[in-house]
Amino acid sequence: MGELLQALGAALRLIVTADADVVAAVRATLSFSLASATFASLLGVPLGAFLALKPFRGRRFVVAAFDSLLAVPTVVVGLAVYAALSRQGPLGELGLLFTPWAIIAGQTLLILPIVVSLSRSAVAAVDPIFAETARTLGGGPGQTAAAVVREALPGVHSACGTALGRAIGEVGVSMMLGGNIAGFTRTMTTVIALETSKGEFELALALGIVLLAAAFAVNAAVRWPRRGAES
Amino acid sequence: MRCAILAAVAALLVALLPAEASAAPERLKLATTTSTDNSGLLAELLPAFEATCDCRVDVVAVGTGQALRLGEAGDVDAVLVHAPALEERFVEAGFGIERRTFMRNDFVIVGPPSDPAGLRGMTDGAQALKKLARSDAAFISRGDESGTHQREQALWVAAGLEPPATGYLSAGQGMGAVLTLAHEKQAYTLTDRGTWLARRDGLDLEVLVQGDPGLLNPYSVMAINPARFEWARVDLARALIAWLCSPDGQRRIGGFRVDGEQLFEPLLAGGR
Repeated sequence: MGELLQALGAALRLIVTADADVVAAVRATLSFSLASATFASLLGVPLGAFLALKPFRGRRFVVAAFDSLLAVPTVVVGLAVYAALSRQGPLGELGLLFTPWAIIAGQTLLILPIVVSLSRSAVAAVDPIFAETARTLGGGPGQTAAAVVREALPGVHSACGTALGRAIGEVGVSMMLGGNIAGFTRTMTTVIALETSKGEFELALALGIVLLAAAFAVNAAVRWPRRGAES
Repeated sequence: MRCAILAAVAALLVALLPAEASAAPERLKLATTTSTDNSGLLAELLPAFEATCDCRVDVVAVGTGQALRLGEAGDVDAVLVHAPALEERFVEAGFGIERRTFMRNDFVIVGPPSDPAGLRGMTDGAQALKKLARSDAAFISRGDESGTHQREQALWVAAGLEPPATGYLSAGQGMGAVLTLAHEKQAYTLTDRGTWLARRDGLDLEVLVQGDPGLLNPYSVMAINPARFEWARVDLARALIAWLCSPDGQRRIGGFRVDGEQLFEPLLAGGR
């Protein structure tokens, strides 16, 4: 117990003094996860809206597929992207394995189903009367869809925020595709895994605390626009 | 409003992206073992090398088996490992070139201070494992095809035994993690001395078996064959090999200390 308290004290000291290892890991985590959340949102929100608004054969199957991909383990995504990016793989020529881009690609794939699935249900939950009104006011299909998505914006926000949270907290993709290279692809979660395996808890604890704070911050940011919409 | 949020996110992104990702200096990918990385040796050596080559070394620390497989796939430019038999096969198969053995330490068997299997003071690793197998004490194996795991398997062969079915735990993790595990379970394990010295603080374990020439642990570095993988950065790999074997590199290896103890013994001129 005393040992744990001591480690906690050392961890807080690392945070307060902005220790170089802590800063590097926080910076890497935030930049990779913001990039992948941006890419996943740009791809996933239109796809989710399309799945909600446009009936087509097999739509139910596609929706079910994205819903079940919500539970895909990070190491499976890591493995698939690793196989693609390794020099022996189809995209090997790009030489991206063990670079930040590999992590961003893996995380984007990991969280895309979250964005698609959650924004689809947000858009589908919008009262059909909005679409009808937009159409009777002379809106084309694109304008109508935009109006409905705007109505579903709080839910879409929360979809993107949830996805960002998952990217910040995942470790499998970052470890397998980034290789935990110091000062390059070493993120908060991979440092925690490494330091814990070495039996050194101070840095791991410090980053654990920062991760929790980041989770709270993302959650708060997601909730803020929704509350605005409700009031 | 939405444009403002987007712009803010984009600005944050640009500000946060590590400088290395945009202004890419020359990068050498080095696959190596957890023992050289977990002990802190590479953190000591590589900045000095990077200053001479104006490049960055990306260290991917895995077990020796996986490090060699990364080399066989052409995913790294150089490997630094410790399993001589596997290394020779790797070079013969045409994956690696310019292999140099440049430093060594040795393996030791550590275990709980109470020493239930009675190994204390033994020197022969194979004999020690034989005695261990006759007791019901627990032994933790790396189980990850690392150099240490290879050596442990060779010791079982030398002892003329299969690893025992009971009390033998295959961890599948790095050396530091396995030492922690042995500490928690009060079990025996085979470790390289470097990681042991670097990590022994706070571990309720002791060195019980050491000193046999059969426990010596040589480390080699080699470049990935550019005739096989044309993208391999053989220029940087050569520079790294030359530096590790240079008087300066050897002196730094010999000078690397943890708590006043030397962890690795340089093998070439200039290091002693």
